[in-house]
Amino acid sequence: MANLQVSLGKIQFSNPILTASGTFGTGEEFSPFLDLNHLGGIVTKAVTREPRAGNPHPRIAETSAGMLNSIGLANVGVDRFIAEKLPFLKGLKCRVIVNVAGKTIDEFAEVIRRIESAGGMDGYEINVSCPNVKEGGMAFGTNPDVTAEITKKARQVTDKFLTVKLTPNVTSITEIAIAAENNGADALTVINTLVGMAVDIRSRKPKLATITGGLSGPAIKPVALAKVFQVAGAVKIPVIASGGIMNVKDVIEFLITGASAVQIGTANFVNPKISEKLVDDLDSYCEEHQINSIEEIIGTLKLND
Amino acid sequence: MRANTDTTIRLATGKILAAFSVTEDIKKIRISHRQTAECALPGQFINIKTSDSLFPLLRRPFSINRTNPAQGWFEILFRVVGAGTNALAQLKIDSDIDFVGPLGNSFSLPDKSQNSVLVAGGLGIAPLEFLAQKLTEEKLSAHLFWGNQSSEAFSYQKQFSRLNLKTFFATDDGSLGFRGNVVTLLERELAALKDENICIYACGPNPMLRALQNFAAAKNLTCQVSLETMMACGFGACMGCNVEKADGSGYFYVCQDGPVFDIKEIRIYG
Ligand SMILES: Cc1cc2nc3c(=O)[nH]c(=O)nc-3n(C[C@H](O)[C@H](O)[C@H](O)COP(=O)(O)OP(=O)(O)OC[C@H]3O[C@@H](n4cnc5c(N)ncnc54)[C@H](O)[C@@H]3O)c2cc1C
Ligand SMILES: Cc1cc2nc3c(=O)[nH]c(=O)nc-3n(C[C@H](O)[C@H](O)[C@H](O)COP(=O)(O)O)c2cc1C
Ligand code: FES
Repeated sequence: MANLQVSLGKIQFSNPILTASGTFGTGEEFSPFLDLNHLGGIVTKAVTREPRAGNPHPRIAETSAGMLNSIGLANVGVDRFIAEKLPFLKGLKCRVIVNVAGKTIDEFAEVIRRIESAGGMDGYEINVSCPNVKEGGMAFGTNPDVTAEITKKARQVTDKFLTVKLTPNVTSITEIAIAAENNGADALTVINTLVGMAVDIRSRKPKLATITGGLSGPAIKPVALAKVFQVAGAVKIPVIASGGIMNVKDVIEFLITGASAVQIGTANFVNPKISEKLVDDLDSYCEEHQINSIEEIIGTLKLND
Repeated sequence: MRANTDTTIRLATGKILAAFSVTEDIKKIRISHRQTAECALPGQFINIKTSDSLFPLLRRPFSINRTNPAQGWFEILFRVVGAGTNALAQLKIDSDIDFVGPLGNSFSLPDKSQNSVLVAGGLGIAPLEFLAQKLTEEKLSAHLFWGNQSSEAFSYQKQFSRLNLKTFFATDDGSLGFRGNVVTLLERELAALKDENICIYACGPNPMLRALQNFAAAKNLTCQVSLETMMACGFGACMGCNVEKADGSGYFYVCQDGPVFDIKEIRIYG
């Protein structure tokens, strides 16, 4: 067994394989398929202050090597989350990070505060990058000042691990990354989905009710790699990669490029056991390549000089 | 509707035992997988990875069409419409097939006093045939109303000989049975039946289900309907398969709350 443990500042994960928000429910949905405790951690579906019904149907469409979604942060709201989901999550041995979203700047901190007063979780992921909501979401994450403000307010209500999830739909992702770093983020999650669209040529209608949605899956991996590379080069805090990871080779690519951990998203729909399998595959990879500790390969990208 | 209380949803590998062509583009495959054959209920579906490639990436959902628990196999019936179903149609006998299931809730069986009326549009026959199998096993009879665009698909009716069904057919072009849509045929025949104590089970394209929804409301008939939507996960994780509640209070999720719904509780578009 290789040492797969990774440290992301104040928090350790038993391995760098986490699951991405919105693709893994609250983990319970996946318990028929795998042992959640084998994962490095899980990131929950977004939690907002009020319950949200989400966007109209249709919300998903398949595209070349990817999918579009416009779920619109459908969730039961923080109070029911605390009552119904927290007990299960607290029973897990793997790390649990709660993905938090909001319509207003204050809502993020409010959601975290309520979860903290119910005992809290291992950490929080600030979702300022959802492309599928009219208010808040990506509108926040494309503005460095707003990102800074939300991060600062969240920092005031918790000492726990705080990662800010960035959108690629900006001119300069490093500017937003630095704003989050300077205001107390412990890590950055790179990236959320890209704005995309698909059209049904028979009906001449968009395939999503919201017209555009968020593109995910293997199609976005090269974009995610480039963004991880840029962000990792611009900040001192660790980067968690998200975008198109399907197999262990993808995981290694992101670690080499500078990510300290990765999130598995769309791949969970294709193979509900994939996240656990990747932990095993990563272990085998390390053995085969005589890597004693996975941290040895993080940020080892060789550049021509 | 019976909720899925089953904790045996699994990622499974079955083997293709047989493949049949009903018409040029309607196919049936028989999959060996004992646990699924034993525990699947009418209305439930499986989510199949149709190829190892990145396109199609997502799994494709198919209703369980028939089971044979004694021999440990079940069947799906499907129309080739795109890349996923094309890949399925190419699968050779003895090859492995990767699926998640059984998923979703199931049809509630009728009271012994109720008469079951099955209404299918096109490949909507797929889950209803499994229901008819269960009814037959329970020594119950049923009426089946089946509409298709043309008479081609009706070669399939020989499958019904082992079922306790009285059949009524409709075609858009009148090439077989009633000329017109199946709901119109149903209205006409039910008037002749003069039976109030019926339970309708339906699956088919949305325009048909809309017409049926209006009819069931007007006559105050109970109707369970199996719905189709786009799906990514199939087990309640992606929130992609929403259908609007009739009272406007939000959404159901077809893979978990359904695919079988009381027709009064949902909004049907198209
Ligand atoms: C619960 C459930 C049970 C189903 N049972 C059956 C069945 O027994 N037999 C059968 O032939 N079909 C069934 N379907 C529909 C079947 O899943 C689609 O025909 C199939 O996914 C098409 O895949 P494709 O790659 O061949 O086509 P694509 O190229 O993906 O699409 C072709 C057409 O099919 C539609 N479609 C694509 N994916 C879906 C989907 N997930 N659900 C509904 N429509 C879709 C598209 O809108 C498009 O019009 C079921 C769907 C659901 C949700
Ligand atoms: C159906 C779906 C729902 C998602 N919901 C959320 C969410 O609630 N919060 C969030 O931060 N990201 C959400 N995402 C984005 C994913 O967490 C992930 O960052 C993105 O899909 C890219 O990774 P992937 O290509 O591995 O899927 C969602 C993605 C999908 C496909
Ligand atoms: S298909 Fe994912 S929640 Fe229904």
